[in-house]
Amino acid sequence: MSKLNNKWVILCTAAIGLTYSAGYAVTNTDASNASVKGYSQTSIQQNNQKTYSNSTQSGNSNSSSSTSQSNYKNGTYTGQGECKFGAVAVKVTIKQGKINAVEITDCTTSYPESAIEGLPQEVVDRQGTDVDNVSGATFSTETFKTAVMNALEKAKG
Amino acid sequence: MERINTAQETVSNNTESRKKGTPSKKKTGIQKFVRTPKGIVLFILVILAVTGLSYTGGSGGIKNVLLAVGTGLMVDFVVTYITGRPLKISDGAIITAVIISVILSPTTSWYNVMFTTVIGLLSKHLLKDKRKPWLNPAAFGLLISATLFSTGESWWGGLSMLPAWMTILLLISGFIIVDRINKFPLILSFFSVYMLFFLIMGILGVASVGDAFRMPYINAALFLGFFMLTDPPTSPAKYRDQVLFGIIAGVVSGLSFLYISKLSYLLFGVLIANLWKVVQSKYFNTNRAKDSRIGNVQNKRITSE
Repeated sequence: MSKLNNKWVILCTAAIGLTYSAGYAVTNTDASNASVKGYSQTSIQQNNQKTYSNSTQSGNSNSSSSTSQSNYKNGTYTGQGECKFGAVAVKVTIKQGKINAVEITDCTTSYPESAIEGLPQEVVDRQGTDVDNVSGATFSTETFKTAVMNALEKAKG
Repeated sequence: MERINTAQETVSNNTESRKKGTPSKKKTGIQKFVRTPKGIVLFILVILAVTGLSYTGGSGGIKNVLLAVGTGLMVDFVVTYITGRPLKISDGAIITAVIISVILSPTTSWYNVMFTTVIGLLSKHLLKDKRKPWLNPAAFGLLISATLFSTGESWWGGLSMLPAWMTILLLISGFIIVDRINKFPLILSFFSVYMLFFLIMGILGVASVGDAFRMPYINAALFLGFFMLTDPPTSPAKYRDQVLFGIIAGVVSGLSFLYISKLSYLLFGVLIANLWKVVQSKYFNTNRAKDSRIGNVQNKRITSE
């Protein structure tokens, strides 16, 4: 079979390139919002890590986490985390200043939700975001932690 | 007389080249293999894997590639032994194994890598029509593994973890292989439908479709289009069939992205298109053949009358 004419290949490739550019531009608003959101969440994560490191230095991590728990206001808070592979959204319920329940409300990362389905219980058990990394789903774990921290920031008021 | 002269010239040229110490132009087995479509695909995949490893730090990715290739060769060896065919190193198994290992996350556990490879290669041997497999083995293995064990995919062989400009290497590699195996109508129709689908969804304001135009999803789509969708045994040869095949893969991928899974949407696309090819070759081509036979008989009758 004879090969497709190069002119057709170039023409079609150019058309696909244009469609791609149009698609990228049309969806750019969401992406720019996401990147801004991602930036703010990263800074939140950094702040939290500082809290953890301070608590480690004082040698009393439990007291640190209970201090932060007492700052939480009762209610249900949502949080989102994003990485280059997608996003995770969570709903965190606070009762009597403690994390009572965590629920994954949306998971669009390349790694399926089932990979991180055990993490919400770990957050409740440990009353914090110090969860174990899921092997093979490191990005999803980090994104989940960011989402929970985002919700907990809101719970602090 | 001319023939004899030419032969003599060749002999004398060879003798001169030997005397001068110039290397003989006789190609080695590896050189011959690299010139075949499978050889080019494997060569390009190795280049992409080595480039992709610059992100993963090496160990995880290399481990997965070696593990998958070893498993793949073992599975094909066992199947060949059982079926009584002559034993040889299976280049098809190596390509499937490399594709699987450069798609799976470098942190994937060893047993998941092995499981994915085994399932993929078993599908090649079990689900087939004569000697042609129905489904792309790598895509099938990855889908089953992702469904059963939530195996992570990062498509690092598609250079998804590297800076965006590195995608040029993927595009050049893809065009080389597609040109070699004559599958331009297939990938052009697939990418046209893929881009148009997500552009329309973006205009309609559907949430998160922007991801499809961005890394790592766009790299995954390019890698799948160039190296998996064009797999000669599981894709059609005729141009018209190639266009339809690409359209089906594009539409199914888009719908799967929206409604099924952002992890496996491309795999659904390629596998449904593979199934379409099976149906088409089994039923439609048979009908076409029957029609042409009936047409020939009618023509003969008309001629005889």
